[in-house]
Amino acid sequence: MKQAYYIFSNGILKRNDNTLQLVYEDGQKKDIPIERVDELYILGETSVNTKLLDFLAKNNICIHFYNYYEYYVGSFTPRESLVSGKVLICQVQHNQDHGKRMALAKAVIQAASYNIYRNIRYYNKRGKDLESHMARIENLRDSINYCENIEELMGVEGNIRKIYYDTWETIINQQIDFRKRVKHPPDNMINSLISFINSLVYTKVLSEIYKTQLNPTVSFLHEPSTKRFSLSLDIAEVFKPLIADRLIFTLLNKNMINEKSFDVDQYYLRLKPQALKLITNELDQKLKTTIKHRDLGRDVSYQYLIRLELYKLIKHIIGEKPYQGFKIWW
Amino acid sequence: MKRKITGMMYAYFHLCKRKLWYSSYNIDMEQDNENVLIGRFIDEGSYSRKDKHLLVDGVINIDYIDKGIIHEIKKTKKMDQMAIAQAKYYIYYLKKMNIDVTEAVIDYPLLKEKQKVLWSDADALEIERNLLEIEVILGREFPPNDYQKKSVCRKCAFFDICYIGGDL
Ligand code: SF4
Repeated sequence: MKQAYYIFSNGILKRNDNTLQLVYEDGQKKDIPIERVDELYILGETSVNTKLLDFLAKNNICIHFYNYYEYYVGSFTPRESLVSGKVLICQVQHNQDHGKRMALAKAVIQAASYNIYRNIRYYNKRGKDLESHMARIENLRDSINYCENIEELMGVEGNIRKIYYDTWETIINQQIDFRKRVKHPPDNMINSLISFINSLVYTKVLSEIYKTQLNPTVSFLHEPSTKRFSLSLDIAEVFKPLIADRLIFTLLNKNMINEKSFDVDQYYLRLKPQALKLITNELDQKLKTTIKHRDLGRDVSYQYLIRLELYKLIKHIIGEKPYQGFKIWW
Repeated sequence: MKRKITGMMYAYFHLCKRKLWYSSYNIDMEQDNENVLIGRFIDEGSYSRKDKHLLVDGVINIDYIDKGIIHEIKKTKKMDQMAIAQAKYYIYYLKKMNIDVTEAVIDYPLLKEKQKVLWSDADALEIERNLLEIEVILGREFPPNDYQKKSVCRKCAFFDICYIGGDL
């Protein structure tokens, strides 16, 4: 089974014949068989060279970099190995045609907001009173269909998200006040947790996109951008409630992450290395969770649900079957 | 513009018309499907002494030719009809290029068996009819819905993309 590898410690990552080798600062070495690597995350201070990147590209492996403050810096992705002119042309057409683009953007928001709703409903059933939030989100979801352009749609999305974040105070039952604004450091803990975990989901989606013929820069909801792989952002919206948000709730409600998980470094907040390890571990556990898929009649992992979403998108843009965004069905 | 029909496309036509359509637009699956890997393993492991993979015209990819006979290597006999059709297409293609081959052999190294394929002039007509039909399928805007039985689909690398979003 291929898996994601996270590198926290400082050192050198290099190619050693046909394996990956991690050389730690103290000279210790660790071999990572390339066949087992699905993607790589660099969270420590790690040196890489072109020989390594060439090796990764040949093996179709994405490598994602984070800086000292656990801020996502960027990815090295293999030169495209799966390319289809037909898919690319259709994808661009769906971005250029207003009606086509709106249809897809709406489908994304429909699915994302439904999954948000499901998260709130879950906690509502477990004794947290969130009825009024649910009702307001339902209303907003109804208005998605009437949006005439992306700005309006983004506005609805923003309102849904505001209501959603309002419920977090109720959902999260840690003693410490995660919402308090801290002046020094300027950001608060929950925000750094959210942005770190969301960026992990974004890169997971990106890695899956590279396993299909879709072009990661051509998006529908978000503006295609030169700085970001905006298709990743689109699809991540759909999966954040299931993968990122639920993970955050668990981490905080089980007290696995708390104030002690952070270091204050000058003006910044950093998750401590132990916390990073814990988060990436829990994330991978979550991505490995399987669910019986109704269309395929077999168990698939949460991670594979992302790939299936991309297949649905391909079927939509080539005109085979309208895209229905993934909605939590269990 | 008339496009070239590769040996693989010709084989897919016999297997499943959806598969033909998808793959001709390069919408194929990631190569980690186990069957694909076994196929590649056989390919790399057997008959290593012979001259391998004769790519003719960028269109047909013959496993090897030995003493004027085309050889195709296959893993199982499950799709032997397709293998025969494919071998005949190779003969047809070479004949069009004025290379006169009249015989092919399908090798099953795992079964230690061989199967002879002989050419007859009726085959040319059949192939030409198929090529016309392939042109029609490739001209379609989206994949055709005549497909294999679900039991066959289960083993196909395209299963997920075919069946996601509900049955075909
Ligand atoms: S899954 Fe079935 S219908 Fe789809 S390409 Fe394979 S054999 Fe054809």
